[in-house]
Amino acid sequence: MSQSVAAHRTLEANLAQFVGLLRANGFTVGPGEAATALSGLVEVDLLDWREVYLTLRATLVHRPEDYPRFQRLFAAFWRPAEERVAEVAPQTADEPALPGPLAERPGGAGPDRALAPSAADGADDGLAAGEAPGLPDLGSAPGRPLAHADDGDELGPDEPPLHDLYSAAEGVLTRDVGQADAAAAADLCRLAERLARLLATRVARRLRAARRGMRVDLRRSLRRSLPYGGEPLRLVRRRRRIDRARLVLLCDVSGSMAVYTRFLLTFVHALQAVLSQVESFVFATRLTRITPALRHSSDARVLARLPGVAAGWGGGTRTGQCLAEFNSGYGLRMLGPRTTVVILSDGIDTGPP
Amino acid sequence: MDPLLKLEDCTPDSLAAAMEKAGYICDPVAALTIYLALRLERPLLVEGAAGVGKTEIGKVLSRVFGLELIRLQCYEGLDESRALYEWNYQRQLLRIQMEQARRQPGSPDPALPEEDLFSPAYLLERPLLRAIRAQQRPVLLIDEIDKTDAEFEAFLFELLSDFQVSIPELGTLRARQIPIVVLTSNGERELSDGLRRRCLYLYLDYPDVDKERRIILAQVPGISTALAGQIARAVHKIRTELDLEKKPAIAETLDWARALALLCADTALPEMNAVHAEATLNILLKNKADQDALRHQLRGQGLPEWVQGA
Repeated sequence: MSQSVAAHRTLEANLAQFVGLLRANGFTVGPGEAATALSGLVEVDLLDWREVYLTLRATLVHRPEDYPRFQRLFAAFWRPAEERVAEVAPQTADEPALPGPLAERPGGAGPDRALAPSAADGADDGLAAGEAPGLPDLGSAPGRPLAHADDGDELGPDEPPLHDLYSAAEGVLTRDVGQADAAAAADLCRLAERLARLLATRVARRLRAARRGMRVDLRRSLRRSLPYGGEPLRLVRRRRRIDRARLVLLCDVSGSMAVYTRFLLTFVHALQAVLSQVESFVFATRLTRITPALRHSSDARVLARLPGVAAGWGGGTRTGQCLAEFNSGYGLRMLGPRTTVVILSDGIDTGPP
Repeated sequence: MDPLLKLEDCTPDSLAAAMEKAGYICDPVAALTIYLALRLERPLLVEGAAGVGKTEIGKVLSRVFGLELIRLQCYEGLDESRALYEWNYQRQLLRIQMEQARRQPGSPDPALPEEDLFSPAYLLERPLLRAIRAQQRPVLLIDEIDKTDAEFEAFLFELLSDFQVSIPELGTLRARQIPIVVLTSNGERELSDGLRRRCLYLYLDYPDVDKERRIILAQVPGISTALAGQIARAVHKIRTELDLEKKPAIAETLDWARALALLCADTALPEMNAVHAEATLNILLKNKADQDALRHQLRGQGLPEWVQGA
């Protein structure tokens, strides 16, 4: 902020631009926060680079793992004009969310939440098989991957079977997805979307069942009875709280998975569209969060952009390391008692587990 | 309670100084963020690992400015009737019974007016309502907001943006002054964007060696500077170099420092020795796996020597 005297007049404009840049980079910054930031800047010493930085960070950024990204953008934007390069185009949405956050969060290396067995444990392991639906499996037993995905959520296996939905599409699915031709690929994507919707509605059904466990709420009944002179004319009942399912999807996009990647991402994308609490990641050699990239797009074109985002797309797989990265970087924040983690992978791991 | 600092003449530096006087060592980042929260009258959301001094911020602010501290401890299942207000049913019922007993049979006595039963006399104030109705600007500490469920959080951030509540039987109550609000979260659950957006955000990390040394010196009377520095280095090294299930929090550091200070005073030693350190380890590391991890790391060395070594 060396040109700060001149900048003061245009502070609002500059801040608005900076907020625009943040938004383009996947930060959710509302007008309210921008206004807070502005009134905050009035309170601090504008000539002090650090105070300006901290003010903007405190008002605009709400997550420690966003700090490094914010710092880069801040540095790029608020540098004196002559130094500024046009490098920070709004495009940077594909700025991978990388190494930074982990290193910067020593506190986050918390308890090792059981992240389900590593997919590398092999397909014999029940969970791993479900989580790593080598797609041919999907064809032979359509209901299976879903049933497994649900396990963590205590969904009864006696839910209505999904087979009926597949009858029409069976021809496509019994083949290995990898060999599907272009025409079939479109079918597959549609199918993936339906699959995702179905998963979401299944979750909803379970919630309704839980509602039946009703109990009388004595406190409220009594309160209701007061206007009637203490006669409990109407009983107030209480329902069990509705639990919303939370999903974390970890999708393997390494070379060995290349043929399935498109299908899987369509699935992930559709799932995120129908369920509100889904976090998606892709991993190969490194883990990348793609939730923001998928959230605001209505069509699958976004999928074409994704390979640029993730490090090591189509390369080797280091499942273990990526899972560790997830655990230390996001695990604490994203995993709750009701979270289901689904790992979509073929279980080939080239790194140390 | 005399304020150490007046809200009006607070600057980031004077705030940090006043907080230090109140026994809270505050780095410049935290001081500036807290200062902004005060000036902009925004709630302050403090996140960080357990035991880094999040809750303490609220308490210290109340001490620094001489304001009442109203604390809402969150837990799963916390609802409005515990956090905001509740009617005093027992009293209401008693009143009904009394009215019935008094009424003459056959007389055209009007029934008990309902408004009587829902007057402030029958209202039990819970922390949030208390903060809103307070005469003087209070410090409202909402502790461990991540323990509540999402519904309560949504309710809360409505309250935090308007500082008014509606009680159907009484009407709308508006805050006389906007309280100083401090929310803390251990990050057990992801907080909603709405709540984050309404707050200024501060992430507290474990203190570095120097800050921790100052904390020890401020909190443990009579401890020698050498011992405090030694303890701060040891705790820092334990936190960073060992893979622990539970990293020692500041409170544990302080307990350990008190214990060691006591032992050192008894034996008239200026610094900790290996025997004392070994004997008091359980104050710092509170499960066996972590203690074993440290012993393994020490490889027979005394703790002071280990800290000294590279």
